[in-house]
Amino acid sequence: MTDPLGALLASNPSLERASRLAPRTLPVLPAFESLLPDAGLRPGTTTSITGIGATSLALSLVAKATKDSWMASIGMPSLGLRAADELGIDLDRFVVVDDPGKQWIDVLAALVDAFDVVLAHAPGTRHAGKVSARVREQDAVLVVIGPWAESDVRVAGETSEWHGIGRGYGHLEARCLDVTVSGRRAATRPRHATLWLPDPNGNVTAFERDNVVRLAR
Amino acid sequence: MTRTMAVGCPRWPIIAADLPADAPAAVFTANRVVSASPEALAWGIRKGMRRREAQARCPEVEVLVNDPARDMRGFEAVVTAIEKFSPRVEIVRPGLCVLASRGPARYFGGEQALREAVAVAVDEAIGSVRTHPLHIDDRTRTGIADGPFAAQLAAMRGRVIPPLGSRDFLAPFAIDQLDQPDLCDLFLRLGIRTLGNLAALPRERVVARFGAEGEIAHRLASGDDARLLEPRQVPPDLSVVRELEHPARRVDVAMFAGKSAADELALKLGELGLACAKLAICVSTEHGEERTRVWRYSSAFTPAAIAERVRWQLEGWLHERDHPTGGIAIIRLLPEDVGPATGTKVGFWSRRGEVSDRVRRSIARVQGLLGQTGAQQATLSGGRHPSEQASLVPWGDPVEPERPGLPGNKTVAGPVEVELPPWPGRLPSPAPAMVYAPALSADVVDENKKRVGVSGRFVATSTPTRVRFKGRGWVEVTAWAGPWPVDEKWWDKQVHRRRARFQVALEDGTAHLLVLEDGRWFVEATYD
Repeated sequence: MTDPLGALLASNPSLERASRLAPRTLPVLPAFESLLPDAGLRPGTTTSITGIGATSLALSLVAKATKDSWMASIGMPSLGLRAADELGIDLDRFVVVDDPGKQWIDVLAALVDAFDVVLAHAPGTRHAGKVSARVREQDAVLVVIGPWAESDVRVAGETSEWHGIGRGYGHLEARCLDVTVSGRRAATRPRHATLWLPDPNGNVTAFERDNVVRLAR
Repeated sequence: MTRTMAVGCPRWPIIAADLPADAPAAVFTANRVVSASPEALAWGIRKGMRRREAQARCPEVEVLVNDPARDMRGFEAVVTAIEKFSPRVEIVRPGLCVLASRGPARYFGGEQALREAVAVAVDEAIGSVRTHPLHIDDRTRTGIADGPFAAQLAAMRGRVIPPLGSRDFLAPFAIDQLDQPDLCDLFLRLGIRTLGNLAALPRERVVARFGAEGEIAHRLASGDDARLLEPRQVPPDLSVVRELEHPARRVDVAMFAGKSAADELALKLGELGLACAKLAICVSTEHGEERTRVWRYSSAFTPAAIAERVRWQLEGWLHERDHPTGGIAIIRLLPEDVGPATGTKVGFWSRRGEVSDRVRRSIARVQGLLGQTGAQQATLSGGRHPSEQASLVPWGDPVEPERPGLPGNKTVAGPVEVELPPWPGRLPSPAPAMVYAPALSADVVDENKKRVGVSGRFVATSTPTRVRFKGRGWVEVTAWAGPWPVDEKWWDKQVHRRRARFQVALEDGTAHLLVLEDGRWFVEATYD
């Protein structure tokens, strides 16, 4: 794949300095690239995920980033670790804080200071402003499951349909999930897509006709 | 060769718990017995046994949780009693300490006499902190030999090993007396079964093959462990001092300073390429009271091990009968047995990623706030159900799967192809993203609003049409699969479980894993 930014920089050297100021984005799976404003997770931003399939969406959104970044989760005691592994999270770089109790805000601050990606379940949005400010300052990526007042990007799972299971036979195998991404600044214009989460092979891919044919066979 | 006396209290965790001598009691860590009282031993409870099995053998057994802080609180009195014989007492762990015995032995009229005098003094000290009399088998044991390691083994047998006799005394002991499971495992596979086998090998060859860890093992096995690391003058600037701005009266508050001091010491040692196996910890209060203890470790101290010993010492001092009047004001760490760190071998096939200092500090902070189990790491293991296929261990503990066999078709990196248990009947992929422990209660009915059941042959009695989760309304079922029978451990009446699992997809687009047990429905997991 060609790198349009690299080509632009090569043609115009005066842009080079400005590009150094822009932080690099963390990579996401190809299925999410066209959905996100920066085609990746931009450090310093907060993403909130709501609706159906929120947990799987959150896990698959950060999966590629954990290949060379450390991730922590906080306040998610029901998180399916096996599912996290299947969706591509590197468990060797994953630290789990199950129950921070009343010290939620202190623990979250400690994690945001060091980890590139923090996955959180919000008990409330009372401190949303402060937390998002800390995230911005430390150039971390915060992914919140549940509504969040200060989110830069909002991802919502809207309708979902399971495949592979019938009335008394088969098993849950694949799911089609309609996703809407909206938010502030570059994400103001909402984008829609249908994702396989997961597809029949266990991967997260964009819904295309080809996949349907493959499933039918 | 330094003549060394070891003073050991067998079953110290039991003694420290202060129960009547004839009460069956056992101390457990992670559901396994680590120490059992004489009465419990008589009932057939053994070290390493599961809690359920221990309770089956003796239903009235007192279950105690392992608590190093409680152990250290009682042990302070013992150390103080031994300090009357020699000012340099080195603590190996609560319940075991060593001291140089040449001087005291001359003063108290011979090694045998010293041994007996110390045992009596320590038994008296234990008696003074306990309300119940001590069991006769729990009396203090002492032993003298060349070097601390041989002295510890001599103490358990109540013997004095003559000078230069330690090597022969150690030779018949099994190799796993060395407290290094990984290395011992390797030694065993190489045919080195006793300490004598290891001591017979030339040291330089052992060092060349196993590095610093191997050298320590060889020194221990040949009774040459007065200094574990290659001797070297301690540079004066290695000590770490932490002054607390506000003197702390609670252990957890003082430990913020203690932990950072431990990290700083580890960093200082690391920068100079040094490691330390003996450490003096000196704590003083705002009123000038001071307590110094010397701690010994089986190999080079890690930052976590240093912090743990600071905590133990604080627990012991702040909770003893004549505890200090002021708050903790200064913590000083003075490394003693310092030598070049040649690195420890983690294993041939380490799979853990490099941990950056930033991440490590953040985890330390979280664990400081929430305790050791506050930050955990996940590992996959074998099993049929999503909740069994992964487990969490506190960050810093060795990560080992609870049950062998990785789920899915992962291959195991290593020299030997290991056949892993296949776990037939495990749930097919994808795995649910939310797993509830414990399962939440639910209800499932057919079109006649009758609860759906499962027959003795695992056949559904009717078609599930609607599902209700606790506290929510009924939702229509669009698709379902099952029942998948789970009849686990039918050979053991105590733990036998018979369940039937169903997958359901609901009208609102969600999908769940339901389970029927004893006529009641639960939701175990959600495919969120």
